[in-house]
This record gives sequence, C-alpha cells and structure tokens, in this order.
Amino acid sequence: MKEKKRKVLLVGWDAADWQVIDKLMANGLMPAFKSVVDRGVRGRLATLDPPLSPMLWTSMATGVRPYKHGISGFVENDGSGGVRPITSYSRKVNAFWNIFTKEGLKSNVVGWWPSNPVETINGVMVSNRFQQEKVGKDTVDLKDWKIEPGTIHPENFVEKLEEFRIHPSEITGNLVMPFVPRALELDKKEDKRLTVIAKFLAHSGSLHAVTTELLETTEWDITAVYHDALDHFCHGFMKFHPPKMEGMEQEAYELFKDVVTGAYVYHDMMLARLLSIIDDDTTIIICSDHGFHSDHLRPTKIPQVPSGPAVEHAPFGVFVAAGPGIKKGEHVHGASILDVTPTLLTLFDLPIGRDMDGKPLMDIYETPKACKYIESWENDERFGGELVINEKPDESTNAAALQQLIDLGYIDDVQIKEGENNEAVQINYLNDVLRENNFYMAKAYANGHKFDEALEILLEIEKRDKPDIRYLIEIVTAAIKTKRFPLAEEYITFIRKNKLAQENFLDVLDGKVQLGLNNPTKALMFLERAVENYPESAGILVDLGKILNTLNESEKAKKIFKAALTIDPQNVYAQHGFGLACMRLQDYETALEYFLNATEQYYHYPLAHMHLGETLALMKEYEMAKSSFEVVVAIAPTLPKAYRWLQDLNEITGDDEKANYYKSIIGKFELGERTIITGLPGGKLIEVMEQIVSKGQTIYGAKDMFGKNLNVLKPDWIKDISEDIVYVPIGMLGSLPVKFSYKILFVNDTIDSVSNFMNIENKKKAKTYNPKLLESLSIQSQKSKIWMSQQPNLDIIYLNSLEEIQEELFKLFVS
Amino acid sequence: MKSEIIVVTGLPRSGTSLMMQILNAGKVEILQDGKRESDISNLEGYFELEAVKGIVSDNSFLKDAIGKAVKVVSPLPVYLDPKLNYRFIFMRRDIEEILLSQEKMLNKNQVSEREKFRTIYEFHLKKTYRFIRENNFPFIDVNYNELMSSPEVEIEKVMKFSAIENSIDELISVVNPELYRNRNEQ
Repeated sequence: MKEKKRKVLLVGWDAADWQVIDKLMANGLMPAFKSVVDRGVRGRLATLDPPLSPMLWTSMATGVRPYKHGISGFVENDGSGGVRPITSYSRKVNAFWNIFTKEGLKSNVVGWWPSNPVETINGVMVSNRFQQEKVGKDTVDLKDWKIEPGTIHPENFVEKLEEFRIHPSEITGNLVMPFVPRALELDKKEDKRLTVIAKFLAHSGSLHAVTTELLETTEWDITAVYHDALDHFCHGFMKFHPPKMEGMEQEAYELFKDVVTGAYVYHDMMLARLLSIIDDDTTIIICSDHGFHSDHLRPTKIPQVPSGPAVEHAPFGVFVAAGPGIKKGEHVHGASILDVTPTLLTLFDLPIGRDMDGKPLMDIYETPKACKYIESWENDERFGGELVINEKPDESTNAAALQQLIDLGYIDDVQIKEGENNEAVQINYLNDVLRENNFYMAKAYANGHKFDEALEILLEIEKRDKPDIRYLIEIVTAAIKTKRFPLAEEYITFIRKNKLAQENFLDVLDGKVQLGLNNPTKALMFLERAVENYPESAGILVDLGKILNTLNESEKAKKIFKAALTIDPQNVYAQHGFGLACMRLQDYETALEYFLNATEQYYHYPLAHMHLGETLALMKEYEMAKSSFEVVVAIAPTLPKAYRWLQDLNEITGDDEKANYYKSIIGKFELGERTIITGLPGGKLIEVMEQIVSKGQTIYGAKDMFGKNLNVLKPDWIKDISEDIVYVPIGMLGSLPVKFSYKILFVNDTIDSVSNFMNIENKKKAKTYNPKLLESLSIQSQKSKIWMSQQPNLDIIYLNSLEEIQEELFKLFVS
Repeated sequence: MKSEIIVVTGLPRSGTSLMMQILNAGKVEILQDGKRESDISNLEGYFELEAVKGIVSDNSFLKDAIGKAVKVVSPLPVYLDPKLNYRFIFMRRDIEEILLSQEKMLNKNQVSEREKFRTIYEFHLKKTYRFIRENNFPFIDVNYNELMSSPEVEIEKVMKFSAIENSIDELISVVNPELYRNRNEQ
C-alpha cells in the first residue's frame, strides 16, 4: 500500500499564552484549539532573549540563535543613510522553506516576520508586507491599494492573491462589537482604539484569507502562516483584561475588558476554518514565540526605551502538535522556539544540521524515530530559493512599516527640533537605531551564554557621554558572568556616581561582584539590603539564595528560595536553588522533587540536570543518575564534571566499556591530579604540614592559614602552583577548579586546639573563648565534609592523629 | 618574501612605530604617506598610512603594500584581504603601560575607564591573533619591554623573520632608550 503523503500545517500566533488559552478552553471559548490539544501533544516553548518578534520568528524558522541568523531588531540599515523595517536581506542562513525547496518539497509561507522581499521557493510565499495599507503615515484608499513588488512569489499569483486582502475601512462597526460591546458609546474620531482593532482584524483577516486560498488551491507539503495580531491586541488591551489591575479606571476597564478574550476567540475561529480544510493526514503544529503576562505579573509601567513594550512578554510560548504518528494527550517538556525547525525536519525524515542550536522534539512521536544529522544545511549547494530582486523596496512602503513600528512603541521616531541640522539629526538617529540593534545582538549572545562576544559588542557601543542604563547593566552582568569582577565594579561605580539607577537595584549586582571578588560578607550585606527594599522580587530573592548556597548557608538559602517560590511558583531558578540547598542538607528526596520540577519546566538547564544526577547518585539510583548526566553532556558538552560522574557511575555499575569511554573524554579536559591539604586552622594542621615538609615535600600556602594569597578567582588558578601539595582553607574548597582531580588530606582537630591557635593569631590571651567563631568554624568543617562527599573528582583521607602520617596508606596517598 | 606584506601590528602605544623605524633602518620598504608627522609622543615619526584607517570599507591599498611593510594596529588586521600573503610582527607591551601611555598622549585621565579599555584591548588582541592563526600567517611576538631592555635578542628575531641583512648594530641604534619613557611614570 502506498504510504500517505506527510503534510504539515504550521500556525504561528505571536504572543499566544497558555494561561489565557487554558482558561478560555475550560470555558468552551476555544473549541478548535482544544480539539487539537485533545488529539495531540502540548508543551511550553521557551523564548529567547531579547524577546523581539522578528528575531524570534527567524530563530523559529531556522533553528539557530540570532547571532547566527543575522536578524537583529525591528529595523536595519537601508544602505543609503536611513533605516528600513527589517527585511529578508539580513537573514544569513536557510529557513525551513529553503531546506524544503532543496528537497523538492512544496511550501506555502504566509506573513512570516520578516519575509519581505519574498524568495523564489518551491511553492508560494506571501510576505509580511502583504497586508500593509499605509504609505508613509497615510492610509491608502481601498481603490488605490496596490501590491508592492517583492511581496508575492510567484509573480503570477499577485493578481489572484491581492483580492484576498481586507482593508481596515472594510471592517465595519459590527465586526468590532464582539471585542468592544459598548463601542457605540465611544467617539470614534477621538478614540483611536476602535480603529486599531479594525486594523488588526483587517491584517489578520487578509493573512487568513490568503492561507485558506492556498490550502485549497495549491499542491503543498507544508503551509506556514504567521499572525502578529494577538501580540498587538495584547500590547494594546491586556491592561484591561480581567482581573482588573490596580489603578485601572473602572469605565475603561468595563469598555475594553473583553478585547483580549475576543482576540483569542477570533483566532480560534480562524483555526477552525483551517482545520476544516486540512485532512486527517495533515500534521498541525501551533506555536508562539513567547507568552504574554495576563496576571499579577503585568507591568504597571512600560519603560520609555526602544522595545520597552517587550516587558509585557512572558518567557514561554505555546506548542501544540497533532496528526498521524503524534502522541495524544501528552505533554512535551523542555521545548524551545529553536526546536521548531529541527522538529519539522524530522516530520519529513530530513536530517538536522549539527550547527542548529535547537533539537528535534522526538518525544512527540508515538513510536521512537531515528534522527538523522548532517554537518550543516549551509553547505548544501542545491537551489533553495533566492530573494526576488528588490534591493531597495519602495520608500513609501518602508516609511509605512516604520511608522507601524513607531506606533507600536518598538522604535523611537526621529525628533528634529527647531534650528537643528536635519542631516546631522538623521545620521544620529541612524547611529542610535543601529547601536540599539547591536545591543539586541549582544543580548542574543548573552542569552546563548556567549558572554565574551556580548561584552565585546557592549563595550564598543557604550558611550559615557550618552549613557544608557540597559547597556550598562548588561555590561555588568556579562562582566560578572565572565568573572571580570573589577570591570563590573568599575561600571557599578560609574552608575552609582551618575545616579543612573536606584541604589537598591545596584545592590543586587554589587552583591554578585563582591562575591566574585571574594568578599562574601559584603556580598551578603548588599543582597540582604536589596531583599529588604524589594521583598516581592522573586529574582532578587533568587540571587540572595544563590549567594547563600555558595556560602553553604543551606538552611537560610532554603528559606529564601521558599519565599521566592511563594511569589513565583514557576521560577525554575528558585526550584533549582531550593533543591540544591536540600541536597547540601542531605535531604535528597526533597532535592529530587525540586530538581525534577526545574528540569521539567526548563529542559535546557544543565546545572539542574547535573544536580539531579548528583542527587540520584547519592541516593544510589545509579541508572537514573546516568541518564541525567547524559542529558548534561548532550546540552552542555563542555562541563567536565558530568563526564567524571559518568565514568564513576559506569564503573560502579560494571559497564567498563562506557567507563573507559568517558575516561578518555575526561582526559581531553583534565589538567591532572593535585594533592590538597586542608582542615580547621590549628596546631595539628600546622604540625602535619611541617612533618610533610620535613620529608621533602613542598607545600604551597602553608604559612597562609586563611588563604589570603590564593587567587581563586583566576580560571584554573591551581595550574600556576608548582608545589607538590597545596594548602586550601576549608572555606575555599568549593573554588577548586573542576578540570583537575584531587586527593584531599583533611586534618581533623579539636575545637580547643583551634581556639588556642586563633588566640595566638589574634594576639589574645590564652583560654579566651570566642564561641561564635568556633561554632562557625565547626559548621564550616561539617559543610565542607558534606560538599566533598558529593563531588566526583575527589579522593579524601581524614587524618586524626599525627602518627597516622607514618602509615602506609597515608604515604601512598601523599606520594 | 617579495610577494608578502610585512604587517606590524599591536595595540596603539605598544611600540608599533618603533618597529617600523627598525624595519626602515633594515632597508625594508615602508608603505606610508608621511601625513602623520612626528610629535612629542613619537619623536621619530609614526610611519603610518592614512588609508589604513579606512580599511573597513576599502582595503585596496594592500596591492601597493606587497613586498613592503605597513603598520596596521590591532584589531584592524581582521579587515586585511586574507587572499594575500602576510608576515606579522606583533608588538606586545604590558597593558598597564599601554593604558598609561595612551592617557598621557591623549592628555586624559581615564582611571575610571581603565578596566573598560583593558577589556576592549584584550578582545582586540584576541581578534587579531584569531585572524592570524585561522589563516596560518607566519608571525612573531616582539615584547616592547624586552626590546628596550635587551634589544639584541628581539632585533635578531625580527631580522631573521623579515630577512634583513644589515648589521644588527644599525638596527639596535634605532632603539633609543629615551623613548622608553612611560614606564613607571604617573
């Protein structure tokens, strides 16, 4: 029997959010969407930062991050001293429609942002300018409304498809009524909000009409349509959505509270129509690039900066897939917008480029499917479609699309004041816009954990005479991430001095910097002050919790993470941090629960998988632990610790072949084995070190009991030390670079002996007793022992008496 | 060597002009236009080519540089045409000294931005090295501080790398200890 042809309908709804959808489905208001959910899989799609739609939808269509695909922001340099709305010219890599063209598959692509000018793909392409009805700031009358060159491929479809456009003037009051039932009470001339709704309806209606036409009249393998209307509806009207926001005027609330619901219902109606056209053999995928805050997280103010409205975006979009061979009624976990194109490729049994940042969502299939890979689709020289020749789109269309972006608050308008030189102002405007694009690209690098690349751009675009706090904060963050703490401190000083941000806010960053500069007490002071000022900020609580975890203050950390989770129960970092504190306190059951929660919500979180694996290993669930570490090496292949665990666990479970395999990988990372001596500062430790030295071994730091000269901030700091043994104070054991294996000689001592030593050090009288200090040292000793027991790269020997250093075991260990 | 371009690179104030003088004394033809005259910061001149500043949009001057030496400060070498052949002399100098020297030259106190510039220069150097290594161009590092303290060793290295056949003494005389001035200043 001939196998049925696989067809895919991909529907993109900008800003669609589960929180709203679930409520509407429960109330029976989105039956079409629910029918897809019921017969398929659902999940959340993690967005990227910055959450700006042209960048996100291009990542969705290519499977790569913005620094690979080249789309940065809403506008681009037009090459003649001005800016124009972002075009397909800036995209540097193949989109799925190019790949399908290379493979001889037919694609219909409608409205994708950005897709103007269109490309000569195998199929039909209708660009994101198709529905544009403006020339400059003026709306073109219906009778003069023309399709601009570069909007439709193939050319012979222009005449046929232009008829499917709906002009905003065709949207009558009756059509707006479902969104604003009391529309008649509004003065249409004074209140532009009804006009805006009409425009959104016209635009999405145009795209919908052309999609249905293409579905019905063309031969296709994949049809993809993108609607931006939900995002626009939400930016305009989410503030009126129930529950009523504090400070919202009652009258305005009553008038517009149904708009967002109406927008979703309207999209569901469009979806119902699409579903009525496709057959049972068609796989349908619905996705969004990010969510939209609809609850208490709705911001009360929109920052007056370019792309300021993006603060309303929530970090997860929606993903639903249904069709032949797709699971029913199940959840997909850990998906990202980067995964859409790799998943589309697997639907057609096509290989995934190893250079793609996304992964295929193989969990959606009922029966496991093999996944093929190639180095890169970029090396495939077959024809994938080329841009129609239209290097410089019509200026008036550019101006119109630009105006749209200005109206939506995504870019600033050029401001020419009286007496100013027009040309100079234009140049400055261009520079500012391009500088902003560079900022977005830097953010994209940071989001891809390429902080050096981010910092390189940021330092070039930062201007002291025209400081932009967003840039400065991003610099401080990247400097912290790359452990350039003095650089971070320099910028914080500049920001504080020039009063560019609230002191309270800077406390958070200063906390991290001081921790990096090895001033944990100062760090804690800043973070505690910040929490005092922002008790309701889950993010700040998480930062404080992280510092407490670093300081091994696990009980306090637990309390703080719990507070963060009360405010934001979905916060994956708080879940991870809480789990880590529990793990340190040897409460493995609870730790497990929280790590599972964190990884379920955010699959691309290697540290959460790492700690999940460690917890399972400590619970002796070796096989499950191995699976977790395998996830770590798959999503973060440069973390040596996971390989080390995999070696250890495979040795324990008797899989020598795998153990050797991981050992060989560790060999590539590892810089060797070092011997460490540590313990509570006191007489016995000193005596042991003296004995070791008298036997011809050298010890680094033997006289530096508190590690003042240890530069633990430097990457792989231990590499520079040539002595046989390194003395590391117990509080600094956590700073041992992971690229080494360690033999640790831990000298146990009595509190009395330690007390005597401290008295001598501090020139205090003998028998002076500082109970707090000694208690803290004792806790530190316990914590370090727990920490050591949880590390895979340590061999530890505890030494209780001086005589033990004569024993064979000790000699073997130290030699 | 005749088909190659000797590129003297390094951060501004790392001794690139001094290296150009050494090459000049070694009878290596220099591509320069003399537009930037000597000043208090570089008494013997800069040996620069104005066109290098526009290398991002136009690197056509490179065709005139074949068989000659040209100064292209870091990170501009990344805009060189990788299809041509180059030999790089990479001037290195203690970054602290470079920062102080630049501040002195610009008569500007940039203490509050020192970490910023230190990081920017770190990136510039990395970028330039990456370009050289990715294209497998031959290069030598010349340490400015060592060039000043023991010129024989460093100059011999330069002579060998650049196929200079003069007597080493002629080249050593170029290294004027008076120029080694910014260290320990401030």
